[in-house]
Amino acid sequence: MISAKNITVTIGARKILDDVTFDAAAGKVTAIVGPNGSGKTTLLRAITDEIAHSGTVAINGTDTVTMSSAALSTVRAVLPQSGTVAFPFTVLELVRLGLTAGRSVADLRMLDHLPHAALKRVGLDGFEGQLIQGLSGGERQRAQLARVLVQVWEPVLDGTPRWLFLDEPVSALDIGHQLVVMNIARAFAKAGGGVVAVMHDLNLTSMFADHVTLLHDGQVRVSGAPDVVFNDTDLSACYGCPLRTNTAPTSTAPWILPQSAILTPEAIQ
Amino acid sequence: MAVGHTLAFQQAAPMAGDRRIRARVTQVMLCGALVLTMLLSLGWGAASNIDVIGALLARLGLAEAGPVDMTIVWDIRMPRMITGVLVGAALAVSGAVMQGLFRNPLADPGLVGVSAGAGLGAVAAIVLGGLMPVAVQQITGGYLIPLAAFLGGWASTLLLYRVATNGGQTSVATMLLAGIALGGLTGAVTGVLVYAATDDQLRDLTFWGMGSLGGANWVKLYSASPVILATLVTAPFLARALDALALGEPVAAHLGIDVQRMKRIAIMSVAASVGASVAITGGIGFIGIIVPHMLRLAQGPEHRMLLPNAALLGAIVLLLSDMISRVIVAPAELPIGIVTAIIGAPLFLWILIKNRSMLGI
Ligand SMILES: Nc1ncnc2c1ncn2[C@@H]1O[C@H](COP(=O)(O)OP(=O)(O)O)[C@@H](O)[C@H]1O
Ligand SMILES: [Mg+2]
Repeated sequence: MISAKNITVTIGARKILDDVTFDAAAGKVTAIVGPNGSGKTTLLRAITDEIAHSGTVAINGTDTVTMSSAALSTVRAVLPQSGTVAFPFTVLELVRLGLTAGRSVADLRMLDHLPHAALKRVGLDGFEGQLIQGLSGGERQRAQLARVLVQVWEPVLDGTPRWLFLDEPVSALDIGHQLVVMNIARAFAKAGGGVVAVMHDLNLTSMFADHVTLLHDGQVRVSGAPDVVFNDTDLSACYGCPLRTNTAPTSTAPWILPQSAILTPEAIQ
Repeated sequence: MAVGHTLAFQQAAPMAGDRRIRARVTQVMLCGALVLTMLLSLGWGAASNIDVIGALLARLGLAEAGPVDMTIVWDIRMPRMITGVLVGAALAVSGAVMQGLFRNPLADPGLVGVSAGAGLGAVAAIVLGGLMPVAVQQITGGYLIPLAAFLGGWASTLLLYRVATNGGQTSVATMLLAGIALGGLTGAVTGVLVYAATDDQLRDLTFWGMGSLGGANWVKLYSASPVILATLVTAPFLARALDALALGEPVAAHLGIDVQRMKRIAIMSVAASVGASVAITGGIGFIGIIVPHMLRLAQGPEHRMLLPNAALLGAIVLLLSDMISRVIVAPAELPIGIVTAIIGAPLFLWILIKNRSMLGI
C-alpha cells in the first residue's frame, strides 16, 4: 500500500501540486495521467522522496521519512522519466547496478543470472556488452527498465509487497514493446507487487491499469477505475480538446477517440 | 544525446563480453609493472654503479653493502620513490573519485582549483606558521603544512561542488569556469603571501609552482603517508556509490545510496589526498585526469576496479615522469609538473576533442 496524504509541492511562488492525496494498492497497476505540466512527474518524485513536499507518504504502512535509502531500495525501485548515464557503462553493467541495491555480496553471487533474465524480459538479450550511449532511445529506456526490474525482482519478499514506480515507461517505445513493458507491469502486480506508472497513452492506460488518477493543474481531477475516470467531460476539460470515449473493440475498457480538429465541441454534442 | 557523443564512445571502446575480466588482467599487469618501475626508480640517478639489490638485501641482513650505497638507496632514493608511489596513487584516485562525484571525465583536482586551494593552504602554513605561538607550533609540528593543505583543498572542493551542482546534476561549463575563478583567487592570495615571505620561506615556496619529488624525505613522508594511505583504503568503499551516482543523484538514492553522506566522504577523501600530496610535492597536474581516462577506455568505468587500478597506474606514471625529469636536463632536474604537463596537456586536449559533443562545449 502506498498512501500519500495532502502532498503539496511549491517551487518559487508556484504551487505545482496542491493538496494531492494519492493511494495505490499492492497487486494493482495504478496509473497517473494528465496533460503536460499537470504535475505527474512532480507527484511521482514527491512520493518517492526525490523532492521536498509537505504532507506524508507511507509505503506498506511505514512513513518513508523514517526509512533509510538502503531500506527503501529493498521495497521500491524507481524509473525516472529521463536520465543520462555519465560514463560509458555497458548495458550489463547498468543492470547490475540495480541488482546490488539492498543485497549482500553472498546474495549477489547467487543472483548473477538475474540481469540476463531481466534483459531478456525487456527484449534486450544479446545487448549485454553494448554501451548505453550507443543505444537508441527506446533501447535505452528498456535497459533502464531492466535495471529497475532486477532491483525488486521478486514482487513479494518475505510477505511484503514491493513497488515499481515508472515515469512514462513506454514513451520512447514502439507499439510492440509498449505491450511488452505493460505486460511486465501487469505480471508484477498479478504476482502481488505494486505498480505506480505515469502514463501518456490513455488507451494503453485503459487496457492495463486497475486504477487511474487524473491530474489537472496540480490537483486530482478524478480518481478511480478506468471506466469511471475516462469520461468525455473530465477528459475534454483536462486536456482542453474534444475527446469522446467509446468501448475498446475487443473488450469493455473505455476507448478514447480524439475528435477531428474541424469539429467544434458543439458539433460533438 | 548527440550522435557524436555516441560515436566517440563507440570508437573509444568497442565492446564485447565482460570487462571485469579485462580489468583483472590489467590489474595483474599493472602490479608487475609497478614493481619493475619501483626497482628501476631506485637504480636511476646521477650516481651509477649503485648496488641497489645489495643495499635492499643488506637492510634485511641478507647481504653486505657499502655505506655510500646504503645512504643513496635508503636515505635519498627510497623516500623519493615511495613518495612518488603514494602521491601518484593519491592523485590518480582522487581524480577518479572527483570525476565520479562531478559525473564528468574532465574533473581534475589540478584543473578545477582544488590543488591550488591546497597549495594556498600549504603556502599560508609556511609563511604564517612562524607567526603562531611556539607552543602551537610544537603541537602541530610537521603536520601543520599537510593539515593546512587539506583544509585548503577541502574548502575549494566544497565550494566548487556547491557552485557547479544544482539539483544533483553538475554543469561542466560551470564547474570549469568556477575552477578558473577559484584558481585565479587562490593564485592571487598565494602571490600576496609570497610577497610577505622571507628569503628562507621563498626557497620552500618555489617548488609549489611546478611540483617536484626532489624535496622528498622520510620526515615529510611520515607526515603525509597516513592521510594518503587512509584515503587509498577508503576509496574502494565509495565504488558502488560512485557507479550509482553516474545515473544522477536521485537514481543513486533509489539504489540505496546515502547520497549526502557519500558526497561528504568523497569530498573529504579528495581534499585529504590532494592536500597531503600537495604538501609534500607541490602541485602536479594531469595525472588525475589522464590515468582514470586511460583505464576507462581499457576496462570500463566501474569504480570497483577503476579505483585500485588508477592507484597502480598513477604510481607508475608519476615514477616514470620523475625518472624523465631527472635525466632530461641532467645533471639538473626539471620540475616533475613540467613533465606531467607536457605529456598530459596534449592528451587532455585529445579527450576534450573526443568528448566535445557530450560536454556541450
Ligand atoms: N524544478 C522546477 N522548477 C520550476 N518549475 C517546475 C519544476 N519542476 C516542474 N515544474 C513545473 O511544474 C509543472 C509540472 O511539471 P511535471 O510534474 O514535470 O509535469 P508532467 O505532468 O508533464 O510530468 C510544470 O509546469 C513544470 O514546468
Ligand atoms: Mg513528466
